[in-house]
Amino acid sequence: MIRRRDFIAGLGGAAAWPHAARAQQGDRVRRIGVLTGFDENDPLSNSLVSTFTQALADLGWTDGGTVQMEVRLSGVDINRLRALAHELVGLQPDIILACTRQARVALQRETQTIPIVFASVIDAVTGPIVAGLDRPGGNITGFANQEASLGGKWLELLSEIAPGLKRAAIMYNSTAVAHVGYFQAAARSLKIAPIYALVHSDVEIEAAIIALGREPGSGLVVMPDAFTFAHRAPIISAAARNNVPAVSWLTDFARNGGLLSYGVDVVSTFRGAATYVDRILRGAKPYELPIHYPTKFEMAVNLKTAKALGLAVPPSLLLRADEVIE
Amino acid sequence: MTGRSKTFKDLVQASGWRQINGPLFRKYVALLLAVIFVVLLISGSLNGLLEIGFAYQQHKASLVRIQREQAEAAAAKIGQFIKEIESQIGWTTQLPWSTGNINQRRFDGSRVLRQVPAITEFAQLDATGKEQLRQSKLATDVQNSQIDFSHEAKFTEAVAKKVYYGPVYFRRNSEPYMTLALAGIRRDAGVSVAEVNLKLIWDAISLIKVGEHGQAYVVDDQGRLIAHPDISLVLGNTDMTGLSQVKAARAAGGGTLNETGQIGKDLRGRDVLTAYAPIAPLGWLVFAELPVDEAYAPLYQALARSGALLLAGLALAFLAALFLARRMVVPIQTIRAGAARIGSGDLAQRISVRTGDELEALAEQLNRMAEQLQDSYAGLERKVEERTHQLALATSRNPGFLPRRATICASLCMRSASSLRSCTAISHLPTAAGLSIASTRR
Repeated sequence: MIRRRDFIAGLGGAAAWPHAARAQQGDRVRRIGVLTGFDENDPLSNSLVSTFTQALADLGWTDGGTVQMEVRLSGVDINRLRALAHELVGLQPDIILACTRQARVALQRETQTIPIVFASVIDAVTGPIVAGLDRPGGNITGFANQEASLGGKWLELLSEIAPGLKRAAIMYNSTAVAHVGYFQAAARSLKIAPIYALVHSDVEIEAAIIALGREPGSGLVVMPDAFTFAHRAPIISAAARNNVPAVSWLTDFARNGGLLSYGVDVVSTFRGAATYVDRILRGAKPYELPIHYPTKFEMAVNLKTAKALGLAVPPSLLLRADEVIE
Repeated sequence: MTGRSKTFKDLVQASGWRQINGPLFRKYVALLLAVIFVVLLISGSLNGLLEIGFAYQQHKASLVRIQREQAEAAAAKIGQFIKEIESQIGWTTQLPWSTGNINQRRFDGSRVLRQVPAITEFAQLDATGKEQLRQSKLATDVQNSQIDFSHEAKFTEAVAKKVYYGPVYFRRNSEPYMTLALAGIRRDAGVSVAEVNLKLIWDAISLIKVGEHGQAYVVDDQGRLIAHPDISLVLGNTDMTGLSQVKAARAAGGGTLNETGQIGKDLRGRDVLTAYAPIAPLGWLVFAELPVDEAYAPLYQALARSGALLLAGLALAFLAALFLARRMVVPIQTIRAGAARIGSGDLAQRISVRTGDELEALAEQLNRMAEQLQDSYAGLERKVEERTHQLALATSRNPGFLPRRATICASLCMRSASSLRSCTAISHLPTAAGLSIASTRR
């Protein structure tokens, strides 16, 4: 963990030169906590955290200089996450970045005073967040990276790319996902039988996808959470082996062999979160900063995977794709 | 304080200041100072001050004009943003509705959503106002919903005026949105309706630089903020109707703001110089604001410069007045002192004044007078000596002659300068009889 932090510090330091003077205004070194449910060996999650660090450095907050970063990566173990949340709050940092929904929930249990900025939290309206999106109360604000209604959109896209879809499973790890309702509604209107695949391990992922593969006309919708993020590789490979067309929220999913992805540019939410951290460190109150919802959505289609599944990608979908992997 | 005044006093005494610091000197200083100051004021500083007074009005007018141009440029940019959306939607309303071309329409809709990031939802209504297709970036698409919009403004207005701009609404009470509806040239082409996320105007607005710390922002016809460099204020659903400049602009209805409307306070309570421009078809207003401190900084600098020059001029004038007054008063003082010494009997005293003017002539006159006095005194002394001698001779010859001495003495006194001193001088004459002069004066 320490090696990783040093790496991020170095990365931030290189680009922070021109703004170093600006951040000197607060003379004492600020402490920024970062809590994620990501795995520490996941290159994507590491690049997200370093995006955040880099964006902060560009705003004048260099790790090791004007700020001290305390990065804690728990992996998907919820107990470890809670323990790390407790530890982080114990350090009394000036502000904490919550990178996943579970991280935000765990932090909210620990503190009502330390400002929390979230990025990539699945859906802000689900957990016990504050009244009104325009004015979040208390100590929490941030950049949400999901729209609950995408739960239905994914199923629709899946039915477009895989005509003849009769049944579709939503794969999720956390029950508190607002997308499920939209998924159900879409399934009803598209006349597709919904299947609920609550998974907690690679074995359960494998079992659920094998079951889908046995019956033709089946598809998979991967719900956004830290678990499916961390386990995206086994999901992609199991879907490929069992000939199951699958759609995910994460662009990286299609880039690495998944069929289709549609969702928010996650990187931009981490950059956005850095701007909020900057403003709070400069004296803004979390409740003055409204929660940001995404405006840009990106679609990626993997033609190789489509070909392997024997699917012809319709032009209407290709037209909408921001990224086509061939 | 007392220490300082004491040293000043010492200084004054050491420099011999006291000797010339009389009423005449003060009069001269005041007079000269007044003259120099008036000249200075008229020729330089007053002129400068008046100039600044005029410049203030001109500067303010030109600032307001520049800001208005900036606001107009921003308004044009936002107008362009809306026009582009219209042109992107435009070609979805060219073909008449028929049951066969729904897939083509769907394709067009997908393309619109792809091309225009700001459009979140896109619906196509047929010629009777029924919704045939609704596509969204967030929600599932709906085909053939047949929802009747034929009595809603987005259909009726669009059909009547070809284009309809709906009021701004806030999705989730946070993100500003507007409904934009467009009708085709042919009536049977139906109406295309786009839900436009106005958050994306931010790109246009944040690029506009008003001075160093100024900014531009947009309010809708209700006075709510819909675009601002700080997007958080927009998402926070900020009501701008409390700001005096927004009130004034809404009352002016597109015209120029009056004097008081040009100065207002921004959301942070700073005084700002404001100009605005309307975005005509939308009823929105773009404001360009510059903090007053920054706007008037050049004027304040000019004012400070003129003030400093005036002060420096005054100080110089004071020194010059002192110098000139001293030049005039010193010879007068010398003459006065010289005259006083001559008056006290020091007839050998000569006054030395070399100013080459009337004062020098006056000093010469006095010198001549003293000289003549000295001469006549010397002559008198000689005569007295002679007479005394004769008297002594006469007395020695005829002792009864003595009483006549008083008469001689008195007549001498009359003929000489009749000054007391002459008489006193005579009274000191050696008298054999020892008579007092007091008796001769009787």
